[in-house]
Amino acid sequence: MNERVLRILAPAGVLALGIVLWDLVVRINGIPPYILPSPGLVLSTLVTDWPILWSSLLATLETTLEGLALAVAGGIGLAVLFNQSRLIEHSLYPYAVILQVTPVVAIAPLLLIYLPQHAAVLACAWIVAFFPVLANTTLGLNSVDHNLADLFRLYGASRWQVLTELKLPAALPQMLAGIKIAGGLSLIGAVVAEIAAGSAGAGSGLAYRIAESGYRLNIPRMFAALLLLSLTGIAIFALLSWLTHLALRRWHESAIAREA
Amino acid sequence: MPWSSVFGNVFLPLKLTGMDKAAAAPRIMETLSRVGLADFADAYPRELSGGMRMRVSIARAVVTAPRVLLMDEPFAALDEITRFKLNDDLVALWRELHMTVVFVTHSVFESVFLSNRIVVMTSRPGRVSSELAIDTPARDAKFRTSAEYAGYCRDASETLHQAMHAHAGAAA
Repeated sequence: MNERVLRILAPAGVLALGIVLWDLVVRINGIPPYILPSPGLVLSTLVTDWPILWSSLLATLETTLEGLALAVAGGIGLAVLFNQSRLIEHSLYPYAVILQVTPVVAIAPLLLIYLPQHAAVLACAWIVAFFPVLANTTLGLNSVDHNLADLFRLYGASRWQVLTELKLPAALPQMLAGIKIAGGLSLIGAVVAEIAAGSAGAGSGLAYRIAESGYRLNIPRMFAALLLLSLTGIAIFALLSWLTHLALRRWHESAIAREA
Repeated sequence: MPWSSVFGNVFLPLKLTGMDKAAAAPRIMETLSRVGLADFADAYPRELSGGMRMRVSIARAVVTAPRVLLMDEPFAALDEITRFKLNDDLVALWRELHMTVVFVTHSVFESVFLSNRIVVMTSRPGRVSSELAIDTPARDAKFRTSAEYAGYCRDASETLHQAMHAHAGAAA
């Protein structure tokens, strides 16, 4: 069997096996749906509750993408700033680390006190997502080839030219790796904040649906919402991987397919 | 720059002086065809061989029409066939562009083939120990196998040995 087929078939087989086992466990033990729904019931809930879940999905997706966009802008912006000025780097970097290491679940309730709900959720997504972009971009900006840096100096390039023509393109692979991590983290941040927010109303996200369904013992809907969240995460990851591939395929080592 | 095409790499020095792409394009293409890379303008460095990458570097250096070109062991990592080819090309380039080339090498044969003047240097301290003039109009494949060339190579080797020996004696 060839490698590509195997890479698709093997995980698909595991998935099918898992679903069958899950279904059997539910059937044989006669587990009621409010404890563990069968896979079929989860799917049918996904279909019947689609209008509610869809609007929740859009709300979560919107927060996640906004958080990611802000994280990318903020992370790259700060990295460039740090790269230009040692003073700024030394003054601000410790606080970036503190923001990162403090669990976002603990910050979320505080943010909810001071900010309107949407802004607070967005802030949470941003806090968890910006650090990998910052750290990776900083690494990339600092690992520019010295020969190329000398070449730019030889031609009398300005600071701005060195940044836009040399440092940013050279940092692109690391930057994209950071953004790929940030995509997943932004979703986590949004979900954590939504659960912490926990307030009802239109435009509440998927995480809120999960919490709410939990209170109502609507377990099938919990599973359906969870499934949608996973799929969202996978979609974001796949999209960012694809963008990385597009940006690097012509020149970077990581994108070169080697013959074995 | 690995992220940029051959064209982009050669465009760099002009771009840094503020020239726009359309204005620079004819000059870039002319320089590329001089080094035999006109067909590879859109290729990326990783798609090229070592010798071709060196040609891109040379094109990038001469696109600004400099009066002096400094080359520090540029062909040391290349195989002999490629090296001879690039030596021939460098001589042609030097004739066409009328520039002074300062070429650092560890190869006696290369130095004799390329130079009008060979300056032999000692190591630590790096000082000029002696100077040789190579006076020949012909620098082609025939010259490379001629008795004249062999003679110059012998002279250069001897001078180099003397420089190394004198230096060792002084150090002792």
